[in-house]
Amino acid sequence: MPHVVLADPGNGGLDAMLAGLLTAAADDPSKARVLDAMRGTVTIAVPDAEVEVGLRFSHGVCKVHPTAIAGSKVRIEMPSETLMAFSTMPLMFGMPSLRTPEGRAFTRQVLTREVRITGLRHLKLITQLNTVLSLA
Amino acid sequence: MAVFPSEEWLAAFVEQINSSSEYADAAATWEGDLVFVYEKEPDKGVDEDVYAWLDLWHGKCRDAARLEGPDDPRATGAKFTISAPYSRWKAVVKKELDPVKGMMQGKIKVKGDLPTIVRYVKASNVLVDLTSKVETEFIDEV
Repeated sequence: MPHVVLADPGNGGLDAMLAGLLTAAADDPSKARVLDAMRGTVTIAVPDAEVEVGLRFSHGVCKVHPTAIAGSKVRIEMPSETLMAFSTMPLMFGMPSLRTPEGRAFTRQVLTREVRITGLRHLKLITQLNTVLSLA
Repeated sequence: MAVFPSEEWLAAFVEQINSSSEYADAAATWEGDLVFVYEKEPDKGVDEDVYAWLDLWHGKCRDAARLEGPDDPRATGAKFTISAPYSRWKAVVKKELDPVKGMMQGKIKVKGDLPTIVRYVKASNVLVDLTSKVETEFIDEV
């Protein structure tokens, strides 16, 4: 079973929130398989909350850092409200579904650069992340 | 005008919750109690941690109480505990601090099942908005 580890357990911010969601994913057999297969680093930035979190996936372990990881394969920037709504967006092939109003709104935010994703060539890692964080 | 945080303020907050159709809609399927911990700040007149317990069920508040302390079974058994120093809560009530951003920044600590909190983030926001509708006097300003 994959393990989720907080790099700084005393911090208790977005890192703890994401660790909570990832730990719940690790308890779900289908998501645990995805989590187990993930390799690479992701930084999630929330500019309006002035918070950045780094996720390092390696061999069934996800380490959650309370800061960005320099040179992350993927960097995702989005407003706090979008991040909270993101987990409940229905997905299609690991990306927000354009068949739903929420998915279309998210795509609009990508096009208007309110949501910025760099490292799109690591699409597999992005879709895996979306899948494990999804509560829809 | 009720003094925050007091039993009287909690009662006024419960009244706001139970008269809000927006909260009733957003939390229609919510089942579970929560404890707000207003952590002590003696220099601001809050000499000890204050525990406010709310039993929230399907968009209504069925019961609420100011607890004696962390050992009260309602505190130990609560589904969620949300803690912050008094002055942070004051900022939330005055709408100077967005609670979601506060949680992301670690200024407000949440204990409980995160997926549930994320699913009900709209209900949480409405709940927090309702605090600002209570006519409030702050204990450090009385």
